[in-house]
Amino acid sequence: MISKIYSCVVIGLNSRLVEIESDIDFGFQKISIVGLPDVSVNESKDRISSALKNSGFDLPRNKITINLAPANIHKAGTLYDLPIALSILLANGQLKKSSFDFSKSLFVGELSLNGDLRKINGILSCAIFAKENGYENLFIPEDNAKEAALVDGINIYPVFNLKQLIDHLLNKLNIESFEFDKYSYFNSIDFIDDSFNFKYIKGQNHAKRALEIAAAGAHNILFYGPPGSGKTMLARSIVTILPKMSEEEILEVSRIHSVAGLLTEKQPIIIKRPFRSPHHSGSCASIVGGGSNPKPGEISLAHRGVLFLDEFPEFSKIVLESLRQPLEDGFVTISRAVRTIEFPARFILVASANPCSCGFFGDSEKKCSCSQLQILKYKNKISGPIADRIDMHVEVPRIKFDELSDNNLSEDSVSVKNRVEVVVDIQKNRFKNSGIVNNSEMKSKHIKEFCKLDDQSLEILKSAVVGLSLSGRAYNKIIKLARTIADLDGIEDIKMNHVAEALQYRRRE
Amino acid sequence: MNKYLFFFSSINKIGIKTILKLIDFFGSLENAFDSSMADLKEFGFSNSIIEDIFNKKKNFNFDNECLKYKKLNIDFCSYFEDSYPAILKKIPDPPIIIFYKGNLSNNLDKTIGVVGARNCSDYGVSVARDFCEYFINNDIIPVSGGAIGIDSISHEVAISKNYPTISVMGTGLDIVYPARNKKLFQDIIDNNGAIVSEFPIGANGLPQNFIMRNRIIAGLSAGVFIVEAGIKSGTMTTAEFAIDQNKNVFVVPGSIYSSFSEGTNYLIKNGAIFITNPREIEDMVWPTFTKATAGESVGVRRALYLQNNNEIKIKKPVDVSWMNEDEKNIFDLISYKSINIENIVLKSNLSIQKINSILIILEIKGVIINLGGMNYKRIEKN
Ligand SMILES: Nc1ncnc2c1ncn2[C@@H]1O[C@H](COP(=O)(O)OP(=O)(O)O)[C@@H](O)[C@H]1O
Ligand SMILES: [Mg+2]
Repeated sequence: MISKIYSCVVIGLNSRLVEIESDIDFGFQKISIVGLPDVSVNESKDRISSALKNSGFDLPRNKITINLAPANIHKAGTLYDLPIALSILLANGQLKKSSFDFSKSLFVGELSLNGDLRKINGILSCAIFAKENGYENLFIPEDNAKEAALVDGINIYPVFNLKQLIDHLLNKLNIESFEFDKYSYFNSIDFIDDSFNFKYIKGQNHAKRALEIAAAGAHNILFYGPPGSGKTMLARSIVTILPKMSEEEILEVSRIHSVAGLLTEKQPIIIKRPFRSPHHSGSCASIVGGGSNPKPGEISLAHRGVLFLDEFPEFSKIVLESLRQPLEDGFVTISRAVRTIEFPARFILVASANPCSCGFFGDSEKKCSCSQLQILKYKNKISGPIADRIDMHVEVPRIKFDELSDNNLSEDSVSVKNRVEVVVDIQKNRFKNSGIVNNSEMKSKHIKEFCKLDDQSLEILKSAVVGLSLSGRAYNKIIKLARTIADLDGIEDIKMNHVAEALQYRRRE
Repeated sequence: MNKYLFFFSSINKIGIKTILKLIDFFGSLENAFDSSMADLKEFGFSNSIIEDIFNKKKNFNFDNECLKYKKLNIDFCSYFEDSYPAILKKIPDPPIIIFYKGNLSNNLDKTIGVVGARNCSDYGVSVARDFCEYFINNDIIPVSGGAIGIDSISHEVAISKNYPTISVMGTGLDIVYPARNKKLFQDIIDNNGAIVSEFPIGANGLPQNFIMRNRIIAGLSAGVFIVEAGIKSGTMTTAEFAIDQNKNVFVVPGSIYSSFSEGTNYLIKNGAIFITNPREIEDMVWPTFTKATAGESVGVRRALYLQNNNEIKIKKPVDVSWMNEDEKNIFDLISYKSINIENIVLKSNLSIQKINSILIILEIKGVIINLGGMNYKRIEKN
């Protein structure tokens, strides 16, 4: 007798349907799984046997063949424990097709030896798959419930253990579908972590202004200056002014974190824009993404948020070069022998760098101890193509605190953030039908359409080519920045002062 | 060019004095070239030099060598030729052959070595710029080493005025070092100046080569002006070479707290001439007033100079008529001493975005300069 249970597999960020069939035949007692299972799936045999026994069910004393279909996709992970167990029970009649319509439900979950269900990774992808493909019910481990409930329009059944689920399927007991008021949850969180508030940063007004522009138009930004000048502190403070995420963004971001297995009891959904700061000693796979069963790396975990690369030139050449594609396209492609996987990676890159390896080149007080060659090598580590994708280059000099009056209180991040959010709305309207979200994403055609420069602005751009030795390549970057600066001013046409300010953030050779 | 002279110049440790001795001993360099190991031993060469000679002899083909240089647009001349700079012949150990790109036939009577640290302060940058502008306006050719920092600035000032300058390299001229100065070096050539080296093509930038290079900088200069120098810097070796060559070393004073000025302040204490104005250099190296003669000591010349000249102002008022109210206000906050953007923010009541855009406009108009570290100062104009 053959019977089917539906489940799904997570590949990259997406899910695909997996049908699970069990066949029980006379023979020596043995479970075999066919259909390109990963070793991790094969290990589930022992867990399933124990879980079934400990939940009070008989494991058929026969030969059991379990087929995972389609055979041509690689299936890894522990989420098949539950559907496999169900398909065995269905095959030997301990579950009855007559009592439940299995064709409209998906089952996922890892079993522990005593039959309890354990949380799995990528549940959000499963829920999105279920909804898009017309499944009505999704049975999942209880710990994954909030995460899955982010998707509207399907019934989420949180399951504690195997016994409880079987009773539900036999109509002996009723598991309530999970209701979750996600909107009040979104709003329940205090968004601003006060310790990084702008108001605690003394001076550095131009750097804070630069952060405001970066956050508003999603421009990549590089801070450079001597050690201790406050680069790291400034970079971290960007979290306090990032705009709120829209519901779609929350879903997008949570899905990536779900697949990476980073959602927790305390943080079942990502509602704050991510701020990721991998260390420069991190492996390429951990930063860019990878592994045999590819997982999103830091750059994808930073999607829709900030990727902070402190001490930028210290990162390995390979990592820096792999940033090119995501910085250009907003996603990263990971190639494996059998398939390629794309993970989204549209982030604001915030980077910090010393001017040389000892940090004091160009400092007005301390002397640099690097050789000319060392200085050039250090600068060359940030290759032209990468530096070209960073719209804003901002110098953070060491400030002499005695020169600054203490009573000069800085602006609170909350008001900065409000301005940023206004600009986010302006961009939303502007790019409604353009397939992009932010000013920084504009390509030449968008620039033509959305960035009108008056004569004076053109004039100053031209004089900058001579007066500031601005490179031709920098042109578009300056205009994109000027667009955001004009937006912060609430002005549709870009004026001379906007272009002039944008020029302040150009890359200096 | 004598092909044997070219050959012997490529041997390590053989200088002009050895060449003269060789001619004396063997009768001609050709004889020396053809002589046996034993004869060379007899002459007094060490085994390693003899080995070097015999190794290089095997592959020596003068015509090929000339062709290589021609392809690279590199000219050369020997100590014995007229085109060799006269000023360089006077130093204790002039190079046998000098390689150059560009024009070395300028009148090198009025040359000044302008050197300083690659690593320099705002102050150093301003001094180098202002002094070089003066030199060029007064027909004095700056000679420097093409490194980043003060060296590059002195060359750049010359180029900006389409004036020749001489850059002395510590490598063979087929190597562009530092690579980022490639354009600068081409500009020097295009402006009738020259890139010079005593090293044949293929010679790498060994540390000792850069020190020997400083000997040529001093050698091509009538005096050496040191802008800033750390106490143990290469710049200090240039000062030592200048003293060896019996030339004057001029120094501007620096802060006693600044590590950039440690070397220059040390030089002042030890007899370098302390100046505050570029004209003082001109008047002391090329005295025009009658009483001063070559025999007079610098101290006497200096006293005479101070008698005859009041301090010369190098600053002229700036045209501010085109500025609007805000631009004028910001410009007024910026003086010839650098000011950080933080202090501009504090002292003006304009928003940071306004200040940023005004600073750029003033910078584009060429009245202020960003010295790095968001420090601004006015540009001085002669
Ligand atoms: N403008 C400033 N206002 C307040 N604290 C500052 C400021 N600049 C630096 N600091 C303090 O100095 C320390 C060093 O700053 P950090 O950001 O680590 O410097 P960097 O990353 O440039 O080496 C930080 O702990 C920070 O609190
Ligand atoms: Mg830091």
